Amino acid sequence: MTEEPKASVPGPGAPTLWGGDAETRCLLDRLAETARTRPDGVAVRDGEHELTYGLLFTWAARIRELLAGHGVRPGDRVAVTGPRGAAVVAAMLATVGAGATYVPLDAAYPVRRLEHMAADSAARLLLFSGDAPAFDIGTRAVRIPGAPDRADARAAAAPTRQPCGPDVPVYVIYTSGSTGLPKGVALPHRCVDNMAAWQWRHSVRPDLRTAQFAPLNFDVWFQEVLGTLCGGGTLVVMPESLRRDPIALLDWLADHRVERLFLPYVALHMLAVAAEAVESLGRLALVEVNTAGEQLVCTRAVRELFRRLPDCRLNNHYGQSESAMVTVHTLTGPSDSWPALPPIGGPLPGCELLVDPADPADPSVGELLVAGAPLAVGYLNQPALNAERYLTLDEPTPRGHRRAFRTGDLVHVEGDTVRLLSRIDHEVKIRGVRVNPLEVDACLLEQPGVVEAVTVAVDIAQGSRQLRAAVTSDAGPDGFDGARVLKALTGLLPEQFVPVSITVVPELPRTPSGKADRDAVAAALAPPARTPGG
Amino acid sequence: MEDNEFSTPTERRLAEIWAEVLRLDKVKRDQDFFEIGGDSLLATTVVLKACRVWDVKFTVRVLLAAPVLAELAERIDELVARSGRRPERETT
Repeated sequence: MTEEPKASVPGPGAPTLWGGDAETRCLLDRLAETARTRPDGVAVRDGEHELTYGLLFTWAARIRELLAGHGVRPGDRVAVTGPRGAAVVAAMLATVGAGATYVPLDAAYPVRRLEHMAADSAARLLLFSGDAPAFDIGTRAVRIPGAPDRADARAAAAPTRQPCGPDVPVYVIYTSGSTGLPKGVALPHRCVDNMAAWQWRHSVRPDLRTAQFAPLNFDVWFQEVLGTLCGGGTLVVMPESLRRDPIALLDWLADHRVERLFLPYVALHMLAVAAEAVESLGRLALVEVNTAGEQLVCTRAVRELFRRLPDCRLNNHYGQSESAMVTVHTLTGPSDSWPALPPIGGPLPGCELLVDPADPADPSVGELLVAGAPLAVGYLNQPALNAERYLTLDEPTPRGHRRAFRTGDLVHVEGDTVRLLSRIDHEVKIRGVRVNPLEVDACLLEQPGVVEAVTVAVDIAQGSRQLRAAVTSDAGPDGFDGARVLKALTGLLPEQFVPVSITVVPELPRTPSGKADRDAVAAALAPPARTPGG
Repeated sequence: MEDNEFSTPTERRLAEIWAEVLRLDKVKRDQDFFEIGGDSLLATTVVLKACRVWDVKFTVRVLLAAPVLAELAERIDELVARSGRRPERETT
């Protein structure tokens, strides 16, 4: 193995971009102000509750007392699970208000993954709503108490008693790794305070009625929840059944007069396709759609949707679990003038962008490095990975930063805007979820009969990308049970990670150096070229 | 595709839609959409095409609840019947 050269970016002539000064006010402070100034405004609505700011923050204060009663202290981690809804929002506010770190556990994940997340994060306590958790995290599980009947103005106005600090971690979320298990990353107040403040200031109004769409374990969940609550808006929790049903989602958005929506690009495309079949979009109240997750493509359907919603703007957001919300590019005006492949735009306040050039002759093209406010504290329990991805720079950057995150994204900087080109590693996005195919390979290799495994993404149609796997087997030509192996994977990996098919091959194609040739596997597993007009 | 593999014209037409969306040569009446390469995004495309072809309104939930081709065809026939039109009859 070759040693990674000590980073000395930016190289001579390499561009750097700066987003201006960060917001440094603690988000709990801002939340206290919102609770004080609009106690009767509706903060969150789900299938069960409609809670004013006064009630939501009273609820959070009660849960905070419960945490203290269970010995939770500042700096501890508290795991929270349950359906997306007001109870989880209150539990997050309580945890952060207690100076502890919130660790969301999405109950839809397989048990092994959840148990790993709980153990790896060393959660002190598990709070849950809904059904008692089906997994054992080796710590006490406590049901989140019910919502209060009446607001307590004093409790509500003081969401914390802890002195806040920029380095205090707010949350830990887990993202795909290469080993078969996900890796946790901790985000501090410096990052989250700045992100939430930017979100409500950047939106067309601070107090937008916003759909809560993102699953619990996504950085966008915090953007939706904290961006909305810090701005005095209303969170409307989308029923889970609508995630796979863009046709029904359109009706729901209209019925609830949702003004702001965050969704992965693929979901946006499908919503736009569903909208084509609807005669009138007059009932939609959308004024802002925010998309992220992968390269935004302004498809015909997407342009048509925004042509019919002339008062709605489209923001292309870019960030990742390890450095939340990095850049934004806003599309307004007639959608037929929008580029097919919009850039990711320029940096947020507090964010400095650097490029590690692929070729010194053209320093505007290279791997994107992020410095400043967006950076996570780092991965949990992964010193080697931290050293590899969070660089310590030899020289301070033009803005004086000495630490930068290697995004793995190849970009082109044009003036003050950034364009995504491709990934440097094998990572792919499946329905907006980041998947490292090596993690799927690792789980396949645990299965009896599998000797080698290569998982690749193939594109079936615009916005529809699937994982497919090729394996070699020692189980004999008829002895390999692909269906059983796929079923086993569903017990190990989230649904987006599970391939739609496993193809047994006599041997894997190889690169000249003898490694499995992933591109050749992808070409072999891709569907035949579509016939014109199909 | 041989006609006698399908019980109704709806099944046959629906199989054509699935084959087109999933980019397959052939789809059988007892196949499950999600076991032959379907995902939630392709499901939306199938449902929208079906709504247009049969002039009914339904959402992806119907396909999620009836992922086998013959089942979904039956649901579509029910929706058509409920909308006041008669489903096509097999003509041989």
